[in-house]
Amino acid sequence: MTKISGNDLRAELSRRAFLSYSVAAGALGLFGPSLLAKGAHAAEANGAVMSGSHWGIFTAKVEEGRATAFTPWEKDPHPTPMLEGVLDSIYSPSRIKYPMVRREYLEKGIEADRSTRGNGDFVRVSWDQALDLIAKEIQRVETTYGPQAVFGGSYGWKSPGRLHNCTTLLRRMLNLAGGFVNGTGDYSTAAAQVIMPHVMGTLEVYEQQTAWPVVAENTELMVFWAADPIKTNQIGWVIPEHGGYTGLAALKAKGTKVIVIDPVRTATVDYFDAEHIQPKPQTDVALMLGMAHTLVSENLHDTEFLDNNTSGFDKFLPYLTGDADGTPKSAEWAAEICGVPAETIKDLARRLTGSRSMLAAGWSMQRMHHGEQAHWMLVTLASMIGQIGLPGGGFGLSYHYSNGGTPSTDGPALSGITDGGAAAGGPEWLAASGAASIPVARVVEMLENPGVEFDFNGTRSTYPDIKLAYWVGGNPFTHHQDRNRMLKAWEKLDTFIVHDFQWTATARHADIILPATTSYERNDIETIGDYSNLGILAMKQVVAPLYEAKNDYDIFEALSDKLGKKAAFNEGKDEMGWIQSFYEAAAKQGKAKGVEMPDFETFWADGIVEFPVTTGASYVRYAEFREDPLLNPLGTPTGLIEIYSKNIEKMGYDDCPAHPTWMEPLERLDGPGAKFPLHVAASHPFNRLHSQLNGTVLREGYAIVGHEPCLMNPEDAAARGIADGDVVRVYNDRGQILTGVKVTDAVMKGVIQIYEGGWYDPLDPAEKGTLDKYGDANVLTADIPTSKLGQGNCGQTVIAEVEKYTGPEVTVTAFTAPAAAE
Amino acid sequence: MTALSPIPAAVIDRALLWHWLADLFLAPPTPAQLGALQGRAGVEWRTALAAEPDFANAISRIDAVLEVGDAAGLASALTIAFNRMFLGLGGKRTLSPCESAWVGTRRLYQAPVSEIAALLRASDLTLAEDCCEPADHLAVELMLLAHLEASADPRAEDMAARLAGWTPDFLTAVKAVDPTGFWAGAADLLSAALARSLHRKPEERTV
Repeated sequence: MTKISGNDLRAELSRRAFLSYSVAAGALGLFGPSLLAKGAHAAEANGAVMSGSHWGIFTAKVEEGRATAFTPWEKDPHPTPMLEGVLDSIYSPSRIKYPMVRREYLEKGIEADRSTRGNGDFVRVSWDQALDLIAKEIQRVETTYGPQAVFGGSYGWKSPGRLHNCTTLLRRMLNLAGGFVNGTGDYSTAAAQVIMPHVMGTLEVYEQQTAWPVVAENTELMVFWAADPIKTNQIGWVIPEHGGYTGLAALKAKGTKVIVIDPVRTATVDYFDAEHIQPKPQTDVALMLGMAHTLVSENLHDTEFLDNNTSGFDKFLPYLTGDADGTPKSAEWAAEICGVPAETIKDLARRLTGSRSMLAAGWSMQRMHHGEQAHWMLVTLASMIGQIGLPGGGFGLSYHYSNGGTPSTDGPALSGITDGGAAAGGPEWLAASGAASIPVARVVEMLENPGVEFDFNGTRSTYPDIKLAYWVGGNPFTHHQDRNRMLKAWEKLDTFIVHDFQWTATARHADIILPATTSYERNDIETIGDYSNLGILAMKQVVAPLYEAKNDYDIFEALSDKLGKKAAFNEGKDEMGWIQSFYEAAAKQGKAKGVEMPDFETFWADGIVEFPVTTGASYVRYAEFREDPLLNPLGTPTGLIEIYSKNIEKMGYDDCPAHPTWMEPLERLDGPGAKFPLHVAASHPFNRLHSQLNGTVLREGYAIVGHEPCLMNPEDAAARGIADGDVVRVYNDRGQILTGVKVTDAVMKGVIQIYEGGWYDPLDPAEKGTLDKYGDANVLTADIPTSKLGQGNCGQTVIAEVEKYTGPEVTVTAFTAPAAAE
Repeated sequence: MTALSPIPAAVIDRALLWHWLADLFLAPPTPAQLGALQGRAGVEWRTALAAEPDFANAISRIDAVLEVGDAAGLASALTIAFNRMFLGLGGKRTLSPCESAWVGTRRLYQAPVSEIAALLRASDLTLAEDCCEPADHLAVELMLLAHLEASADPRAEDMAARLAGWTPDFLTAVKAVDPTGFWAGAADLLSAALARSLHRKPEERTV
């Protein structure tokens, strides 16, 4: 480059200037500061980093500080294609770049118009300004109203990691601030996790199953009931090892008979070329009762097991036979409800008793009105078949989730950061910590009804009057039901604070939004395998934090500092100090169990430590209980499987009787008074983790005309003049969404499938009941409790109608900007 | 690290145009910035730009936006539009103003980031401490172009060509979706300025 003097430069540039004008000096006020500074920085490093996620272990290729490829762990038996989306999520164009505050909230505080939340008028603020605002608001609410006015029950699929556990970190900070209202249970299994302790004395849904090698060797008839393990085992709550696929492959290799009961032809049906039975949605209990009635009618039920290992069958039997209510729950009766021919029902019952059979049930059957009945009836049916506790027999509620059944190792448990609150007594899954607690899915009802009493599992409490809600690691504006009702209820809040790494619908409805790092921008440590405890993984930082994102830990530490509680929050440790402490506690425990682990430095350098499998490969759930129920009782009042629960009888709930019962849901396909003709199967998505990764490149592989897909039976489509690839409006009295149609016989007539987790995308956020442009199934679902017992969500209770969309163009065609670059 | 001062107007007005366009695609205008644009200095600036025939239509689109409403109300409307179009609130519909989003795999933070970072290093520059954007953000690339031109650096021509290479699809998309007209005008202006820059006479291209 030729060096020239300043005067020469001015003259030259003036000559070359292509604008024939001069700018007045005053115009300089129009310009912001430069984004550039003098002084070059060295190029960032290249390398490879092993880390992990909800989708498995991977090695990231890093080029000049940028992650450019994720390669699955070489020992992963079934890596998920979603890893590509995980990488994409780091660099999502919807990343939140810096702290922002809703303009009106910034100007007027809690006097701001709450109906304009979600309109997108966010203003950038500094980190210090944002943290000051939050700290002062927490102090205001805690001081004025007390901890009962702060909702910290923030729920969702946070990232894995024992330190950067954002929901626990939030509660840790809020406990130091004075306390908060918590949420009990979850959205996945709320009904099951309340009913199962009454029936089996334990949680069931998040517990190890009879190990896959035992199933592969012994099971003769495998029934996946509303479970699609080929799809859902791709993900794990911690770091999945994908061992479930090894078990499924062994089952297939042996040629074991597989039956799938599901309204939709699932990936599991295809994988096994399975026999497929398609009941009408929400009628599983009727179908089970019809099978149970067949067993009794044909004297096929195992009276010895029922006598020795269960309690209350005698009280259930009159209901089953119809002696109690005049309605025998026969196969014919069930067929009228569920649509499965009576002969098929009877045949299925006979085959279950005539061979070693396993009923592997999913959870969708309990995410519906009266959902408690489904798993209770399944256990009752399994008890009548009498194979619980036998190798490869009985039932399992987690073969589809987090690779349940993968043999457990002898490794130690890994601890993690705690919320610092007082330990609550009682079973962990029912523990209610915080100043108060509500069933987590009743959050909208809570906001609508402060001071009103509610029932929950035998208790009666009062909904608190919430002023401030703080959400991290979750997306309630996707996972909660009846979006339009929820939007209105949210106006109750003075202040809504959210951390996220991307602009989810929840983030867009915040008053204050803070940008959090992804787990690939920080160091952490996590268990491999939810049930197997295969080992411990060093979740190493892959890239530097993007934009102004900060770790949730650092954010809450800074807030605690502003509240004068920093030392109590960090206990004198930094990120690596905490991680090392968790590892060393596990190593100490391992040593006591005879499992030697390397020192922390060696572990961190290696990135992983794996544990040995010994007895875990031959584990049979309930074998000891079966063998001697007196010496090995269950945790129920009788120590037996409770087909009749006196505890539930005492509660006197009109929506949860004391034994498994068929109860009509609020609405169902062809049900009494059904207002709409189609059931919406809001199943878990194949290429997402609920709503996670919806904003990534993976969407290009499944979206139809830019919308969430809607699978529709050819007969239903033809009746409405709908063709493959059409954009349709799906609607009911609760809302309306657009989807793209795929016409397929994979769904039964009368059912459409729209995966849950599509990002809510309102056409006009200010308009009540506005059209959701993308396809959020929970715009349509009913926000009612499963019952007074479980108070779970009813995300599968939904019927609707479909019509070809003829409104103004709102598809993403005009927005496929990157495609234009092709 | 020393922050660079805005380039003096007396030195080079073309660089100022790049800088102004960078500002427009970096963040929504604040009420104060809008007030300045609507004020005397802003009117002079826009009038001067509009005097250039290639820019007249683009400036008239921007003028039309600025003539409507008070600065506060306009700032709110423009912020909503900016946040949805460029900042990620539009989710799937976000038009990232970064080169990586418009070339290659279209994923953000890809090779263009390293390439622009290398250009910055070669110019003894780095991103300012308060800049959190990737190096291939349109605003960074425009400010680098402004710096290269102000420094009479011959690499300015390549930088302009680079921008002219990837921005057309982005700017076309912006014009298609901008509900305000403000960024559609800015897109037209940037297109015209880049075209004009690349079609300078040969003797104007080197110092």
